[in-house]
Amino acid sequence: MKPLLSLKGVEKIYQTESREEIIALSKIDLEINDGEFLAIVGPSGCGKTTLLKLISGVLTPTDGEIYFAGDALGISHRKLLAMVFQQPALLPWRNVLNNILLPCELRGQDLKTYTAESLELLKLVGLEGFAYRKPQELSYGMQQRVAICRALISQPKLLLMDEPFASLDTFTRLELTRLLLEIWSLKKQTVLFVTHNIQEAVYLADRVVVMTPRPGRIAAIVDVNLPRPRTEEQMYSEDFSKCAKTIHQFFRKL
Amino acid sequence: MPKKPFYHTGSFLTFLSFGFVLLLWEVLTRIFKIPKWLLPGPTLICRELWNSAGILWQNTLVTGSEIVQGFVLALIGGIVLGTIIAYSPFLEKTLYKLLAATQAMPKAALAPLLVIWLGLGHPAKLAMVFLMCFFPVMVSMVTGLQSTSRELLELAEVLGSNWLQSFLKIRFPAALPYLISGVKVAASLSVVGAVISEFVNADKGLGYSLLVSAAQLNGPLTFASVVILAALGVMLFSLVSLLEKLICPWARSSLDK
Repeated sequence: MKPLLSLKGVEKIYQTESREEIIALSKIDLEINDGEFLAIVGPSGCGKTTLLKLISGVLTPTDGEIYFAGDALGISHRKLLAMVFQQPALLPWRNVLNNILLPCELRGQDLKTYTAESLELLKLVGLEGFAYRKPQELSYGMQQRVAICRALISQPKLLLMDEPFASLDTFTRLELTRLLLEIWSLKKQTVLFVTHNIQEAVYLADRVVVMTPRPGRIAAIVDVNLPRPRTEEQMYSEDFSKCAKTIHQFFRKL
Repeated sequence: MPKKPFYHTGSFLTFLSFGFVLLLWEVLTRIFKIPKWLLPGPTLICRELWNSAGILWQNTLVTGSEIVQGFVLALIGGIVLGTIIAYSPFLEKTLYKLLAATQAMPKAALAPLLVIWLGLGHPAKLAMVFLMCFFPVMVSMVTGLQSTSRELLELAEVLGSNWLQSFLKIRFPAALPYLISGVKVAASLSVVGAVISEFVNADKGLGYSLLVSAAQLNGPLTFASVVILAALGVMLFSLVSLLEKLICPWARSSLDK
């Protein structure tokens, strides 16, 4: 199987104002398969967000190559990617529907066709009837659902998620995690999910990339051999704990 | 929440306190028989407003047009230059810092110079109002554009939007609440600018009539001019506040929380 995204020897070096060089990422080799749910887990400062920014094209690598479906990553690939941030980042002056339609609007697509699609997505995330509300009228968890809809509207091949549930309370978090798995099994797009929560990574992903800081690098890639569809019951199973423990061990040595 | 009785609402209390102060003023001037050239009571001022309505109205038109025109020019100039500076790190380090330094200078001191440069007429007055209003508008525009949240900027970039799109659809609307707060400051300063320039040199306008009537110890007319000037300031300020509610209601709701 041909990987959807592959990183070869990717390196990112920042220069501070005092001309010091900080290696954010060093020699990253990674392949993401089509349709895969890949989680990246690591403490803050391990370069996981930098990695996501390199893939989304917000940053360019200092060294190494990134390929998208076999071609060097470029601007033309941007429409195949979508991003969900830790903050919902909705525009407060637009209602929910127009927030979801923002990507289509910026790309000059026909808004009428996508309006129906947006309403469909809102139904999927359980926000039917909220299309004409303003973001401020929604709870934080609901706003994050809208942000997910905004990412899905462009039917991305690759969904990039940068700690999307980190600011949510435990229950909302579980709810959204469940929802994300449901969406993933339905839409079949590839997901790259960054988190600092080991349990969350194991629960969601097919493979977990373990990253360690200073310099940011991949310490291991752990396969999660838990059957799908995943249930919350599995979180208390022996296989789950074993897998989480394997991942945890890489951080104990730090 | 049960509805508050009307005498507990904010606007009623405000109204009441205004009324109380006016009443106290009237009573004190009458009890102590304060001469009207020194401090006329509210009723005397009201009578003067009525009796000299014609001349006051003429002067209001003159001063009002100076204020509005100078204010609008400052608004346009401040928004345009503020936008350019926010997008240019070079201009921010040079022009912006330079303009900030000039703010240390009392602008009233420039009024006589403006007469020398622009003459005795309308342009010198416009320039003074402009100088008063321009800076707060420009600063708030720059600050607003520079404080767009990191996520929104990244979002625009990931979505592949160009410079103009991200300005019009994300950065400018996001900066509006900041801009409006600067415009509010400018609205109050605009009246000050007009009065200063008329003090220095004018043959018409409320500032002029204020100066002349004060020199003639005509207390009621002096106060009548002051009242109208205050009213002009309040009107402009309220207009901007109304505009704020209309174009960026989200800014208010986030403040209320």
